[in-house]
Amino acid sequence: MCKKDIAVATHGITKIYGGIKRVDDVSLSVRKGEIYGLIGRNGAGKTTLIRMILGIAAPSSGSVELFGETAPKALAEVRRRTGALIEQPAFYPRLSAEGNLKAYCLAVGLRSADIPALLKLAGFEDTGKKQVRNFSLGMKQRLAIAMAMAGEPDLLFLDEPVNGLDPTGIFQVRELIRRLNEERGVTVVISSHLLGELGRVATAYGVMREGRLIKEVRGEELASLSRPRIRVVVADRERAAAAFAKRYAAGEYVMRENVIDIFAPAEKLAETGVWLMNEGVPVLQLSAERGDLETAFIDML
Amino acid sequence: MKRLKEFFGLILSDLLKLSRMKSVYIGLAVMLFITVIFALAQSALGNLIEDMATSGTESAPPLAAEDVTSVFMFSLLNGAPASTGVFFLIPIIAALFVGTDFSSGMFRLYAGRGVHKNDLYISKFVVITLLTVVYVCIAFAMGAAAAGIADMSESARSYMFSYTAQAFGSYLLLSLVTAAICTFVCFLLRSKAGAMAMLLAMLIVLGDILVTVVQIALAMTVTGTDVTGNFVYMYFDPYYCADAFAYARDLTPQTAGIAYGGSVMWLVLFFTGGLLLNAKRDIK
Repeated sequence: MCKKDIAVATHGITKIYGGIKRVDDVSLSVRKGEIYGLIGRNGAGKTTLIRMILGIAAPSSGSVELFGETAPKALAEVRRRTGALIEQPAFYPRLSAEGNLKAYCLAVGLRSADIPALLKLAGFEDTGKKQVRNFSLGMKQRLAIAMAMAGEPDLLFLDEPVNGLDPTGIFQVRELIRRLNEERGVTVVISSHLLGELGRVATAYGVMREGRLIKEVRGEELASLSRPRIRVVVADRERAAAAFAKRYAAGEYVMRENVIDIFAPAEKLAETGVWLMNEGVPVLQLSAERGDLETAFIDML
Repeated sequence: MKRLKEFFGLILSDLLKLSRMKSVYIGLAVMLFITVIFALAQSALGNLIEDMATSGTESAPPLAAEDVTSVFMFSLLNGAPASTGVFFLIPIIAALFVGTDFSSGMFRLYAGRGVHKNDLYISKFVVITLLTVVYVCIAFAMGAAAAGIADMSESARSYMFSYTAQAFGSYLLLSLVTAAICTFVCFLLRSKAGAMAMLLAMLIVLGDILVTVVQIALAMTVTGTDVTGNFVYMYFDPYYCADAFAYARDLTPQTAGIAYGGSVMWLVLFFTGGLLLNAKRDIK
């Protein structure tokens, strides 16, 4: 991978708060034009990592690179072309949607931003002078996304972008991200707990656990994660564990409590049932599942 | 040039936000209310003294109504910002103005878009200074209006107005100091309620505490030296230039130097201290 193809990179970035490493030696790379899903449990360090990339928090060690730039002044310039929704939606509660967009665009040097277009994008053509503090959570979220889109950024950071949105809102945000990525080549980094939603748009993933980036997945490896599986729910975990260890290699199945996923196509369902019966493993449920990333990532987390 | 344009945009954005804050207009209404109350009180007092003088009661004070009016109006006009509570209103508005940016997450959003942390700080300082100057001007305008319609002789009126320029200058300097203190405390505490409480407490007691501490220290270290006539310790009162007006009648170069020099010292300390602190800390 050529350096000029990288939109975002961190090099051994670490953040220590109160003597605890919240982000520990993370080196990630987001390629230009990618939709990069940053996943991890609460407290895994996703938001802290994004804050450091955006310059809101200073790294304790390590460095950030945006579009090949690492010098502070150059990074500030690149960040001018970066939209972000960080943690919760930010807005002035006593201003209208239009007032908020005006104040934001003025403050970040986007005087020529097309505010009516942004209002339309967020579906606020008819909200008039209604103050944002009277908006629903979903409306606030849409306003925050519209702010992030202001100035047609080359890079977008969206931290939990569909929080509080109804199914229509989630669909609209998803389509918007997809459209920006496909039509304008915007690189998007999304941090989300909704793995299913993320799975519909992301083209690469970074998996974080306890402040560390434990895996980056893209391309063929990503496709292999979503392979079909046969799900077995057993009554006797120990007996099942012994039987599976004899027949399958470590990467061919995953065991979580009494649920076992075997990475095999649906055609193998009957054969698996017979084998389990012969092994004397009591089976409560046996089903063929389409492969999904959500389960694969839960296994990693 | 580009940087300057971007900074100007930041100030415009802050002004837009400030213009939509109710507390700014409530503050103006409070100032107007206080001025009217003072003017009415003065008028009632003048009438009372005149009544007492004409009724010839023995208990009538040996004062002419015009003298009372002159003293009263002198204070109301030349101490207008203090009389109308400007320096109590500004900390409240500043705490709401800056605190909202922290609580709403807007600072985070701006910094994430490449706006320098110190630009955010300086912009807030500039806007709070502008607001304070506007409040001071309005206070003087209201004081001048009240003084203009008061029942006074021309000589008393011209005497009163002869001090106004000096008083106005003192309060402009105090506006800068107040804005520096407000910006510093708001960025230090990052909380609306906390900053408001701290700023008001500072306004009420900080100067006295610092001055008392220094007075005690001076008396202890300069044993045997008469320090009663030495006002140098007043350097330690950040709000001292507000009192400079009180000394206006007999302002010597020494007291003027202490009052204004001390204010400039505090202005520089709070402003640069705030910038350094802000540059070192992560945005909330």
